[in-house]
Amino acid sequence: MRRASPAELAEVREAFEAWGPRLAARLFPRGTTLLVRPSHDGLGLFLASQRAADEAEGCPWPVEYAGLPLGHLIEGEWRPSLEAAQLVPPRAADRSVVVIEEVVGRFLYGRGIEAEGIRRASPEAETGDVVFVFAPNGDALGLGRLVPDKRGRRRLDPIVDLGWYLREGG
Amino acid sequence: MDEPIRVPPTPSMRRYAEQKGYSPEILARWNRFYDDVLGLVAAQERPPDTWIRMNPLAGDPDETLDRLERKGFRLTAGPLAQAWRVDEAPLSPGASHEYLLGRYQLQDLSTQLAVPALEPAPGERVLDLAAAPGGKTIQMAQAMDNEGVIHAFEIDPDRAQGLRSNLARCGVQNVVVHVRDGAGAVELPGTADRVLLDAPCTGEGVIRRDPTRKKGYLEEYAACARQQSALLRAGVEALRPGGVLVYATCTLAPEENEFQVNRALRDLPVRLEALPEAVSGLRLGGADLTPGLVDVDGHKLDPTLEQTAHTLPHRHGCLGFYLARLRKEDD
Repeated sequence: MRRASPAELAEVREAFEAWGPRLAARLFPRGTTLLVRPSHDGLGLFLASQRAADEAEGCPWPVEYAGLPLGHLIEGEWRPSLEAAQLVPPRAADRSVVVIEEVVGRFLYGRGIEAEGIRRASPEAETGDVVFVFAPNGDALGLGRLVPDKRGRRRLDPIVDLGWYLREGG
Repeated sequence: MDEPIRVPPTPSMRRYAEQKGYSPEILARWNRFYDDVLGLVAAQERPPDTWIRMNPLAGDPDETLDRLERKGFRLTAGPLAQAWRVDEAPLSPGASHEYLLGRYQLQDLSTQLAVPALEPAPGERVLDLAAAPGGKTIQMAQAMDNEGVIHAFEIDPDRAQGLRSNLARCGVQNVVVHVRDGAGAVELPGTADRVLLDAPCTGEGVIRRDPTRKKGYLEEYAACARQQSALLRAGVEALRPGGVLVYATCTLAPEENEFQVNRALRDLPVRLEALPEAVSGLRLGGADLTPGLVDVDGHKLDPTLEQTAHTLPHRHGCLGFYLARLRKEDD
């Protein structure tokens, strides 16, 4: 695990902003540092305090985890983590969906949401996109993918939801 | 002390232990070390209160309180900042949306004492030598306002995964997780301002939560004590001169508590300090914290050990816990 290089930083900022023009500033505020963990298919991204970043980098053995995981950068595209979803305000993300209150529990159990359960999708969110999913009060629920249903509308397939913390036994 | 203290159980103690599902040797020891063993056993039979700790890193605590109360939770403010007792819950406190959002964590009141005893501050370098599941690591990150660094050690990969999950859920940004023995902290470059050693132990203090621990064997005390000694030695070595180490366990066994600290005072460059007023001044369950033992079954220990403290289930209404604060001597 090491600090992102200037070129990587620029690439990450660009990838964040593909999800919303103000997202990079939200996800990566001043006073924090971006750590990266290279893997076979891309870069793991971690938001860390300056000192945690310094010491993770200077550790005499490989560090697998430091700071807060923000997801992965794969071929220039950002794959957000559950934790990143919690940092994003609903209005700041171009790719987002707000579901109705009645289906919040369903999504948190890792289940999909039918078209009737989607209260609002951001105008930029296209079918096939991965989107941040929010409750009506703005609470993050996780990430899903907008897919067509049999009647030509759009439903939400779950990718990852906050209930994972419980299912993981955390 | 390499051998556990053996206290032969009387026939009546043996019958009572069998009736309550305990190893007779454990109750005989408690009867020797603590007053009112019947009260202690009775308290261990009662389910513990549920305590939560609000997490300012993931949301405004007042707003979290308001949200929980609107959902039907009934909470009572505890004696420490951000600590609340759950008196009524419409669903498991570990399954609410607020919990999943990291707005609070589940943490017994007794274990919430270790961090105010250590007093970590923003910008410092802190070691947590046995970190999982992470309640106290998160509490330290809160006290440090997510600044500085906490090196969190956990040797068990499965428990380390739970630790990472809890840190992530609660929005912690200043922790580096090391999946290795905390004794390896001495290999990190530099020294630490503070060290928390909530040591692996026999867990006699958490029988209310885990009744399987009623059936402990005396050999376990010695095995735990060896591990604790190694961690304590490493923790002191990794500390800067003048730095502070808090030693804690959730057991009632003196071999794992007072004897460990007594040996550290004898063999390591540390001195015992009084616990900060925020901890030592607490009254839990209407009682002051119980001072550490200085005379254990004829073993005379350093008299300053009275400055260490126990919470006891029958005195303080929470789980059993032990706390000592040590300061490394200046060069």
